[in-house]
Amino acid sequence: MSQTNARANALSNTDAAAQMRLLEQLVLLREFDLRCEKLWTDGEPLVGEFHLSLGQEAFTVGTCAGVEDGDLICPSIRGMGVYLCRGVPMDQLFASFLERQHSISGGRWAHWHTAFEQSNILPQTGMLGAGLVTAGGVALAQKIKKSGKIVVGMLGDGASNTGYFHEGVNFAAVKELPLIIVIENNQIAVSTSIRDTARVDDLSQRAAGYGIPGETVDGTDTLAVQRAVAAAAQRARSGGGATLIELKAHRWGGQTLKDPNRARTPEQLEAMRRRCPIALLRGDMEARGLLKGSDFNRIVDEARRQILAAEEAARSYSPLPNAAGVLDGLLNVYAS
Amino acid sequence: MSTATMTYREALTDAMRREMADDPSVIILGEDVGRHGGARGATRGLFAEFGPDRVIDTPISEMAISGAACGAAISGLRPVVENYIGDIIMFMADILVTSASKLHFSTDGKMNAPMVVRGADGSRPDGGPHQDTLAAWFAHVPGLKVVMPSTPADAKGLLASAIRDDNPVVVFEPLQLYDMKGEVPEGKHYVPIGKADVKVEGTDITIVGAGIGVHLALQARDRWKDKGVSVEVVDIRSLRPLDVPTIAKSVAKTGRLVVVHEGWTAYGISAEIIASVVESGVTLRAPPVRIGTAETHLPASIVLSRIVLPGAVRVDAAIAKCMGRSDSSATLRA
Repeated sequence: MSQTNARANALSNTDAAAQMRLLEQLVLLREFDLRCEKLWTDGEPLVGEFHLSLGQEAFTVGTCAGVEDGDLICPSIRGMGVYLCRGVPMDQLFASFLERQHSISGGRWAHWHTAFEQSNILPQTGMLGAGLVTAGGVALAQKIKKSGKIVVGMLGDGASNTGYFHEGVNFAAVKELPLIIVIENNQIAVSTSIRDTARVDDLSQRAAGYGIPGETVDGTDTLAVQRAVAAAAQRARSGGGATLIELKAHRWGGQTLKDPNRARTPEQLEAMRRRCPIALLRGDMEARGLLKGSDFNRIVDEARRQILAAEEAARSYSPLPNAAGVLDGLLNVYAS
Repeated sequence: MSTATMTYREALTDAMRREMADDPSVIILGEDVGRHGGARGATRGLFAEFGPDRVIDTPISEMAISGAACGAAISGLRPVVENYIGDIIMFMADILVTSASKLHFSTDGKMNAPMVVRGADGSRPDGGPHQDTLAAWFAHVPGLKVVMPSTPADAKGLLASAIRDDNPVVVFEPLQLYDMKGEVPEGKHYVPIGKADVKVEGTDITIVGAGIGVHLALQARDRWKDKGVSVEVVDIRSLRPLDVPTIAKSVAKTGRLVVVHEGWTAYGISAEIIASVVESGVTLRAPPVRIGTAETHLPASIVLSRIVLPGAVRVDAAIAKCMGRSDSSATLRA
């Protein structure tokens, strides 16, 4: 792990406002997931799957903070945090859940796979690992066009066992693509521990086999994640090619909201919850005098206010139409 | 329009060279497409002309190659991927079917994937691996376009149209045709995707062909001319979109329909064509006949594979059956 000495440096190099922004994003992700969980447990008929990122919010907050807004990100299956960090309007997300107008894909595609061009979020499918190879193609295009942009391909520990991973990482390595491959290692794939599906302790060890730099980072430490991603971004942008970053943390909930979360014991889950990315950054900031207790409460209140306002707005939108003529639009599968 | 005599292979190269010269966003990706000139020689000379940034040799990684093409396509490039041979395209199927074909739909038109996958397809025929044709699998998928040129001129024109198309297009190149010579229009030449070609007109029976099937149909026409049967031959050229009006118009005239293609008939090219013609309201004077690869696997033996693949004997039997002729001893069975 490389984060141990990193935090102090990172803190000194990051201004207070930027850290406050990171904390606000962590809290927004947490509160957004908790709201989805609440709606689900209340029996609200939500459309789609909800792969919550409770406990692993720093994966996406740190990663998004480590690159430029103009850089492109292909989120993992558990990547709603990328949408929130990159400012995808939350009312459009709720509209997707509630099958309303203004849904991010117009009801055409799963909300957690939908491209959002304005936010430089790339499309993906449910075929785990496929996003990595298409992200490689986007990176290839940036290199050919000399756009100066880099690409981040995020995927879970489970997806790192696919053939796509091998082909995608090797392709990025040999073509020296401006690509950061981020493994969100929450150490469990649906119900199967990464211990049962990989022999290496750190998945970043695999980087050596492809001849690219690899690093494992404490995935609860937002600033360490940001720092590692920023270093990889600088390397990619200056022609140094691809980097593999493994972020380690635990997801606290089940695979999705439908999963009763019985793969880990209550004791194990309790231990995981003690390593909270929000508590970690909050503690750092308080210790440095960058945050007071009341500040934190204000952040939480503001996040909840925004989320509820977005949900309320979405509920005011018309339902997706079920009328004559709609099929014509859905049959439009070809660009002219 | 002036023409030049060239092979099917050279016609493909000509299409790629002209598109690359005109448009810097066109790139080529694939195994051995660079100095080696491609698995079938179709990219010969392009590496020297356009360099390694545009003619990109890749690892043997079909998932990464097709994914890279899809990603590059949504980023403003027009990648042309070479599929090494036949069934290898199955490794690219996920990207084509699950990613590229859905983009226009899933983003409500905001994104699309103008990529081409082209490469050898079908049998030599000398049996062995990699000689299935899986074209019908891809033609099943909304959002993909699928073409199968049967002549050098169409190879050039359809590939050029595929490169210019804003959708993912799969170009199936029948393996037996690479050395075929023909007259090819010089300069820019585009054959519209989705337009069938009436190769020769006739009055008694329509034989619709795809790929090799077109040549089997043309040969049958010559054999039956002396027997007083006038065969009309239609080359579908595009599997998807399928030009139903042109086919239906021909069948409306002749009242008889035989479809010939490589690949299995069950849920296949001929099944789709016959269903489309019948749905269009055309009345047939005889039951239609499907001729494809027999419902088994291609044997390694050349002798055995010729029995399994569509050939002249079965085409003749089909014509005899449709025409009510008893003067053919041929059998419809493969």
